[in-house]
Amino acid sequence: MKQYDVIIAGGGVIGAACAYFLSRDTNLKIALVDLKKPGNASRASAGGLWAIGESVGLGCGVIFFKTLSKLQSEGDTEAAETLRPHQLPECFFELALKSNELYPALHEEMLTRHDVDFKFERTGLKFIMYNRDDEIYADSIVSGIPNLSSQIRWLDQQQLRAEEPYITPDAIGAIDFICDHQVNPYRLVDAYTEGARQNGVELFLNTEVLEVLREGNKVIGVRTQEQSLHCDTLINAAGAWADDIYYQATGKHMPVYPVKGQIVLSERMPKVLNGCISTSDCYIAQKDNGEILIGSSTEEKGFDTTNSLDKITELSQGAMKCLPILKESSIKRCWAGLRPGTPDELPILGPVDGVEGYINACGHFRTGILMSAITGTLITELMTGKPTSVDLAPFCVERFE
Amino acid sequence: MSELSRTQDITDPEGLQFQIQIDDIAVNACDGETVLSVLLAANYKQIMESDREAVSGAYCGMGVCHCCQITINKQHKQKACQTLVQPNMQVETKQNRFKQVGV
Repeated sequence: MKQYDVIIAGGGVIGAACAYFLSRDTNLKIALVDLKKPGNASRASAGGLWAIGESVGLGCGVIFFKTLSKLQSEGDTEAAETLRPHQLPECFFELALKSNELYPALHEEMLTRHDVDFKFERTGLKFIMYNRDDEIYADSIVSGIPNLSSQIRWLDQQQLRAEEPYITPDAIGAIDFICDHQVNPYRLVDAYTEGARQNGVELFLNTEVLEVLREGNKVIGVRTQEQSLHCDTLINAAGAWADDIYYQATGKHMPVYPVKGQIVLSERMPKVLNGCISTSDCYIAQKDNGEILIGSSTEEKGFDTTNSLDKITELSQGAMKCLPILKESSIKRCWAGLRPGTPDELPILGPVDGVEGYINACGHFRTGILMSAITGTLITELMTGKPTSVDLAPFCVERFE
Repeated sequence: MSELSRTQDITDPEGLQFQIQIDDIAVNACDGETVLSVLLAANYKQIMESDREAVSGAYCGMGVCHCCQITINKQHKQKACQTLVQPNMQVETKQNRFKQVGV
């Protein structure tokens, strides 16, 4: 019977980050249990660290706004009022920006200590404007975050041409979020996992948590295909499947559900983008190997991970409109991932009232890659009894009751 | 224009005959055949250079293996085996975006 201090259920970017930070900062005996299920979000991710961009609804959230800016320009203020720019609450900004600050040092640390490179690139995120509607929308984003004006640059048509010569000449300008960068998401998960392994975390890969073991109101371990593993604390980092674990641990359900995102990947191209791009149709990021990644739809279709022609066409057309050179390129791959969505788009973090030996680290929706560093840090602070660097109250599961 | 004389062909060419350019050399071709068929008849064996500088010849000849992607009329990554010849077509072997544009 194996006994651990901590078992982490789920080895995506959140679970792996928890394993890494816990093993780096404590002497706890840790096990990471992971089974790659179809649609796991970390391996479907674009790898954007778009702290401000995601907080104001760019990136994955962008498609929603076409409607909004149209309403605003048509002067339908009443309808537009109910559709305010989709800015997330202050606590989300704080979490995103704090997490974003950790990456430069983390990148260095992973390289020197563990010899893994997750390809942190300083790119910025540009929101490309084609017309007056987009300008109105950009204005409302910028006016919504006066405290972050130092992180935003307005680019006129000439400046945009100079910085991104391959972007369509029809673009009239852009706003650039200068602190939003990118990583390679697969390498980030691998880096956390490898760092954790080197720090002594036991990895149970290709292993499924079949059952959460309880004694009264205390979680005491998990049962896998091969054996039972006992623990003092179970961390639920099961992404879109987190509710299964939560239900077994507490007897209650929580609102974490899969939100499908489809992605199109081009063949390898010469360097045509200096930064990440968001438009009102899609986001575009050229990764370190030259492939151009275009995302992403937002669909509630359960655990379905199929690609559909209509979404792939929409994304491709949106990308070709912005970056005409893509017309000469082939699609290399399409895929879909399942974001762990929550009703208010905030993650679910921290312990649960009335249940001992159990901590949530799930529900990160569109920003798991970005939030992984701060999540690992917060969970480590919880486990060591330190005050947490961010107030966890807005992220507790009880907010849904 | 000289008649096509193809020692490998089973039947005599019946279609319209014209010329295409392979790496700036005029080569005789016959309406209805593929670019790959002309390349092989003109004794081009190594025809593709991949983005990662690996040279290859056509392997399957039926559009599946992606080993005969060449530049046709300035369009990169065209499958030679799936493209029918047209008069004055500009075919470039062992060319790709990265050679022409840089990385």
